Amino acid sequence: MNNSSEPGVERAVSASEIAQMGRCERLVAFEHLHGKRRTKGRQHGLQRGLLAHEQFEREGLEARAADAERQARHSVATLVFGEASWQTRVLHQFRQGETIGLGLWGLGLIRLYSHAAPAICAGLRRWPVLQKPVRSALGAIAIGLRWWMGRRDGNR
Amino acid sequence: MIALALTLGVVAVAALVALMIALRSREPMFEDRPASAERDSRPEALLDAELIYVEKVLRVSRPVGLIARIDRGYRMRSGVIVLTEFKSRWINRPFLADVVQLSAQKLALEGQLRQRVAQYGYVVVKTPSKAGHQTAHRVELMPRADMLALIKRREDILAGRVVPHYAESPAICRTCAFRAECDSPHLP
Repeated sequence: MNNSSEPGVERAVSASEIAQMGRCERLVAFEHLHGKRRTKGRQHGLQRGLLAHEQFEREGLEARAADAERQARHSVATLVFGEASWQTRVLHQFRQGETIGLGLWGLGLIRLYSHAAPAICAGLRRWPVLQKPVRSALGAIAIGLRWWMGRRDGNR
Repeated sequence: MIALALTLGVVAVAALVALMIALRSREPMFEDRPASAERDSRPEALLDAELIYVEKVLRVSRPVGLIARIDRGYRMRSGVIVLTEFKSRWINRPFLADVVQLSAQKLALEGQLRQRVAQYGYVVVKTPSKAGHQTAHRVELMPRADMLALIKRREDILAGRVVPHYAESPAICRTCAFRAECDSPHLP
């Protein structure tokens, strides 16, 4: 994908402009002096590439939306707190971002939980009465995690 | 340590409930991800990864002013981000320009979002034929210092402080719109 310069960002260079250096340094200099110039064949190729890229982007966006929907259905936190709550955010942040320092055991446990979560969600939807105690337990954990993450970030 | 204890607690409760439900529920315990064009295009190493960035625009001002757009970024289970760059062309292999572009994206992502980005990435090449074959090529990205030096060299070229090199490949010269102005040895 082309990364074009945008106004408002002073002296910023785009990734695609730097990439031209890997193609031909003379071309970089010529384009700087004379502006961009394309042969007909290259122009045609660029238009074709743009269409293909739009499709690639569309597929990516669809896949990410499907993933988000699947996660929402399979996330205990989303089910009991709702998607926009801070508890859900903290718990997901921990699950997704804090796995780095947990080692093999921690990663294994999180993986086990990820596998079990769809079944837990199914059970919580079937027996809504269970949601209240789970909400309380997860709420306490979210408070602890928020405190711990805040303390850790403060120490950085 | 606290985090680990908390995780253990959650997992213990989750495992107990899951076991209970698995025994009584008709719903499948594990659900496969649905097939999709995006999933088909992934290299095998990214099958377990989570797609988190699509067409993400990044801007950093330090150590250099840089704008980059990430085609796709996947988060591995380890937390590391792997970048992919899409290209549509007949020649089904990665070029140096692709590597430079991915390396610049890495620089921007690390600078703006403080994420750990893998030292490798993928160039997904789709041929414009009717069959539209798509191949993901793994490439090693350039070290940060080399990227910064390259950006500096570009500035020097634009300022006329350095003489730019010719393209290494004659194929690039054959399709260049500046053939009339250029004295490349590849040109007749």
